[in-house]
Amino acid sequence: MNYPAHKLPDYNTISDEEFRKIVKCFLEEAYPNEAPRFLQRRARLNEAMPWYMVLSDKGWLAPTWPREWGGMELSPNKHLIFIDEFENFGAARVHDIGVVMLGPLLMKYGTEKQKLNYLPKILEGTDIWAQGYSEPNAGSDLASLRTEAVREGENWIINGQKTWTTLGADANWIFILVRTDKTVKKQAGISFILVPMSSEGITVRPIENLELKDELCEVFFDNVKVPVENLVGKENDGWSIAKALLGHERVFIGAPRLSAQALGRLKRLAIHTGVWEEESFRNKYIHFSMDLEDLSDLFETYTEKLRTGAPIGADVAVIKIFQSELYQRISDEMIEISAEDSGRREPAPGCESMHASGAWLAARPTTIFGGSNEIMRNMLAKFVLKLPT
Amino acid sequence: MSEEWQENSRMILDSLAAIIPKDNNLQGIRAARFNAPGSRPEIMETIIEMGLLSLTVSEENGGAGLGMREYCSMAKRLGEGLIPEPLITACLAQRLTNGNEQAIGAVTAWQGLSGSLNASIGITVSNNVINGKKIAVEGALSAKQIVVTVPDGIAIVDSNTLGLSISPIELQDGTFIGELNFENVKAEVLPKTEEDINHAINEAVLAHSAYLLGVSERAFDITLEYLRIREQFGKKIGTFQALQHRATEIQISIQLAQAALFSCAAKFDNSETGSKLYSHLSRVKTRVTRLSMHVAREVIQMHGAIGFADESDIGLYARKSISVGSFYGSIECHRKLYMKHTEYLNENL
Repeated sequence: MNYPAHKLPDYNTISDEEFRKIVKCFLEEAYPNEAPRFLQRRARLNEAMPWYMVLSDKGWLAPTWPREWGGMELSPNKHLIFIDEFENFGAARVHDIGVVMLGPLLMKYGTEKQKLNYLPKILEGTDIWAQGYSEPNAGSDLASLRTEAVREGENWIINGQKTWTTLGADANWIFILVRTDKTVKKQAGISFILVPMSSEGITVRPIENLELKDELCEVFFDNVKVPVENLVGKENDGWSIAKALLGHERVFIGAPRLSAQALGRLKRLAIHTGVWEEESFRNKYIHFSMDLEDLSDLFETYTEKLRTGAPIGADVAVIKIFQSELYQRISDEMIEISAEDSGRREPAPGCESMHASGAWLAARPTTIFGGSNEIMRNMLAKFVLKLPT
Repeated sequence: MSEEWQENSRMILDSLAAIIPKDNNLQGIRAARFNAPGSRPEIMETIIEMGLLSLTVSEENGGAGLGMREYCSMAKRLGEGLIPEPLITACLAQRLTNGNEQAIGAVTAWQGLSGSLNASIGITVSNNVINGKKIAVEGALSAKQIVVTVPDGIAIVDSNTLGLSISPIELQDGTFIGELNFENVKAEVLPKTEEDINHAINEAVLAHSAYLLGVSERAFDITLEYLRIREQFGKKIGTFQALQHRATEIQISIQLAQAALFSCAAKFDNSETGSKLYSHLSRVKTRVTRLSMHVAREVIQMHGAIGFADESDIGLYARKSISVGSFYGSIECHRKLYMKHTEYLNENL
């Protein structure tokens, strides 16, 4: 396998300013003309793939993966600059569940064969992954999931239903949590399995969400057959993998990215409406800005953990909660200063990159997915604050 | 593997057992309350003997030459122990005098709500004669010598010098500050750049933030312990989700404050200067001051009626927060400083 990133310089050794320039220039030169910018929703496959492939060719698809697996291995600081420039440019978010979720997980729990088989295909754009965790009756109480896999010879036979699967209709692979033992404590009978979406017996049904978009899906499994080797980790050890992955997901949701983007939009909107000049608004803005920077400082301690492979504990809930609620507070303020324009379904002319109601709706799921903030608080209270139950 | 500053901090924290009881009992702190000067001479002696005042003074000037992360670790522990001795102010005096003087009280270099940490505020000097007023001076009642920040430098004056009057003001935490009036006080001005003075003051702003963080963390720990044992309705009150979720709010603020504070300290230790450092510093002080008030409110409420009784130690923490939370700049003051030093906030004005 020839990884383009091997030929890349070690970006961590160059100055922040220089690196910022390199990223900016690359975006300006290489971003495909046909790809959308400043999109308020997730880009769909046809919109995102041209950009995906440009990043793939450049070797920039996996900024935090180790270089040996074709990543850029950026330091937390360089990664923030990288994200920052992507945000400033308004680059569409590609289908990154493979890069962000599955890749690091396979590096930790996968066999050598699984790593060699799946990781390159993520970077080449051959495999687009979806995540199958939640079920209709297993949301906050994820461990009560009922989709089951039964071993039959050299195969798993899977039956059940997953839901809230982001971009499920765009993916050609899905990793799922399934019940493989019903006789033990609910957390102890779960396994982690990789399933091709093209398998016979899979049906995908899109769900229209509050944003009136259909990126979320239900995925039905009706006697779906996959080889036993598609199991990741040990049988019935899926919950610990899921927890690790949820830890990653929470770090990802806790990243300052969404709030930073929203704060940029709030500023543009405030300048546009004129309240930017008002002291009362400016004071509110200052506190958002401080909150965001404090979050960035705290976030760095977690990216450091991810980089060194240190376990992510229940305390990650702190950044998950704070980021998602900051994002929502900022979106509330966008509604407030938009006044009578706040309800427009489409942005007012000239306000495409500062659509208040779009931002407000987009901010809703972050306090729900990856473990609702209420569950996050329960976990903090129990595992971190050691309060009685 | 821990870094050198963490090792150093651990040693300093161990040595603080000499002034902070290992079991965190507050009898000594209670006994010293509301008795001028509010600090304990024997503890101050120990602090000086241990060399704690010259922690960040460079080694060539006889100090320990340690960094801000070590200093903040110490200050945080002092806050946990509610140490009333004006140690941070005394450290500031040492920094301003390069550790060469026996000055263990510093005149406040920061003042009030004006949105500036103007070191020379309130003072005029001509021909080595000082006139004017300084308010909220920590340690003014116990100091033998006082470092006065004046335009273009500092002056060191004896506390019993002719023309200097010190009015004590008793605070809610049982300590005392002084209001200083200078009437034709003769003193030599030692020239110092505004930059040097401000840098020393900024170190004190951060150390005081660490002290407040320590106060808040310890008050929170005591309250968590109370939630674990106090029973009502036949249950531990810590099982109630309403209280659990409010407790997590405090935990979130503490984690943010801790991360922001030590990353700011690292900037000091990496010799960063300029707007980015000042903006970060004011952000830290704002976060910590807000945190300390948030904690003060919640820990009393979560204790219920006993939280309102003076015999309960939790009140000592709340009184500390309302007494010294605004020292080295209030939220309002640092909000303005943050605005001043954060470039992108000043665009399009």
